[in-house]
Amino acid sequence: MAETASRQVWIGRGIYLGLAALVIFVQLLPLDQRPTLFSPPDILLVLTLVWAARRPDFVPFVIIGLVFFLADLLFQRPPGLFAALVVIATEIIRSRARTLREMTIFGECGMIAIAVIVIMLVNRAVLALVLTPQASQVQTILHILATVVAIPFIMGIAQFIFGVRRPVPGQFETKGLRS
Amino acid sequence: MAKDRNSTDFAGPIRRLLVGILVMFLLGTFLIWRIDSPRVERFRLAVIDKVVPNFDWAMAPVTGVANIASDFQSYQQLAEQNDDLRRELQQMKAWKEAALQLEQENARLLELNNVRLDPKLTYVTGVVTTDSGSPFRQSVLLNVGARDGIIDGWPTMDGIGLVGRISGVGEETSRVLLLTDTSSRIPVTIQPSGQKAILAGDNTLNPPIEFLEDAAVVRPGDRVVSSGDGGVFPADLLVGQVALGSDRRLRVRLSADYGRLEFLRVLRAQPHEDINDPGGLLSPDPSEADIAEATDG
Repeated sequence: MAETASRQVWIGRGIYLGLAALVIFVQLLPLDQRPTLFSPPDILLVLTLVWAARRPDFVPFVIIGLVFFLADLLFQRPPGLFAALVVIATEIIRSRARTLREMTIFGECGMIAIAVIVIMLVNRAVLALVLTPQASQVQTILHILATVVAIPFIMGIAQFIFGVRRPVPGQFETKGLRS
Repeated sequence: MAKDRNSTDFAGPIRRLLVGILVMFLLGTFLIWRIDSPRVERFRLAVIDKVVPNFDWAMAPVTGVANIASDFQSYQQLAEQNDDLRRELQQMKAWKEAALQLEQENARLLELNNVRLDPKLTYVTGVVTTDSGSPFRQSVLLNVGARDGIIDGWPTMDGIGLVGRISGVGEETSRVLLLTDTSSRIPVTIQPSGQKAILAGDNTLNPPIEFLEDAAVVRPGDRVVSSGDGGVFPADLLVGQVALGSDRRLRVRLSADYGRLEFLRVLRAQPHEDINDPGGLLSPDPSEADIAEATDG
């Protein structure tokens, strides 16, 4: 029983890593270089937050840190800042995993939305503080909006396709006793 | 805390310490990047050089399929387009004839005047492998790099117009900073008025023209070419046409087709020779002058 549970966790981590690689890959595809006003949502961020809220054991902080640091490097973002913010945010979500489990699905969605907004605003504030050139405010706001809108969809995909459900009360307790 | 232990790899305090170290490391990298960006950017390019070619086998076919799909949409307007093209071709033939005659005449006149022109630019062609991946950064990655003799700062064109410049060269890859990126600034000349200005990318498709001396003599439709000021770019590379934006600012409609950047030419721009010598005073040789004075006196 304990062994199958740990194997499940490793499979879950593998699936997360695969999805992260897929998202990075798709974002790197050179399809159209015309800049647009409406930027696509940051799927990788939402994916990580949803996973962290539902199954924290699938996304250890080291994996999150590495994935986002790599994404920072590949996507020409200032390296490290965004990754650090995501790690901090997932740690906060993780520490509230128990209260999250008792929330409704809307509460969970709202919590993730708040995390997304705070991460992006802090990111922008820090970049402004160290005087790095940035995108216009309108674009950032639209980007945040698009990302927030994407949350329910990603939650649905997580639930119905990848089986990342909110753990039933009692599921972790038994496992905790065994490991 | 005990309830959380099952979801973590390490027990409480040690784990928290490790998270702290990771966050410190990431923020430290960010600070180092801000202080000494070239070093970190080189590291970034080294990572990209390692990671991106692994994606290549999948990148090319997926991009190909996506392009076929977008081609398919344009088949609908094919007949219409065909007519337009035929008409355009007729006009082009007339223009070609005129251009040939002018070229011959120009060559003859240059020959007569003994004018020395800039040497012809040669180029290396590369294939676009990836996008920047972020909606706020406008750049692409080419599959040519230091191995092919690419040097930072060289201009890049598609078949027609200027696309951007090389910023960052890896062993097998190099990054092209597009004209639309917020940190792109290039000196341009607007023809026929000859006004000098700066083309400043601002993350929109039509970058605005800045530092224009006299906006009254510039009209929408004027040609914009690179000016070669500051030795950044060779002169007279086509950039685009002036257009009046909806915000009443003069912007440039870029000639390069940003919708589909596939093959890019990196021009081998030879660095200009600098004249460092302030120039000597034109006077008779001082020693001779002394002698002349002595004989006078």
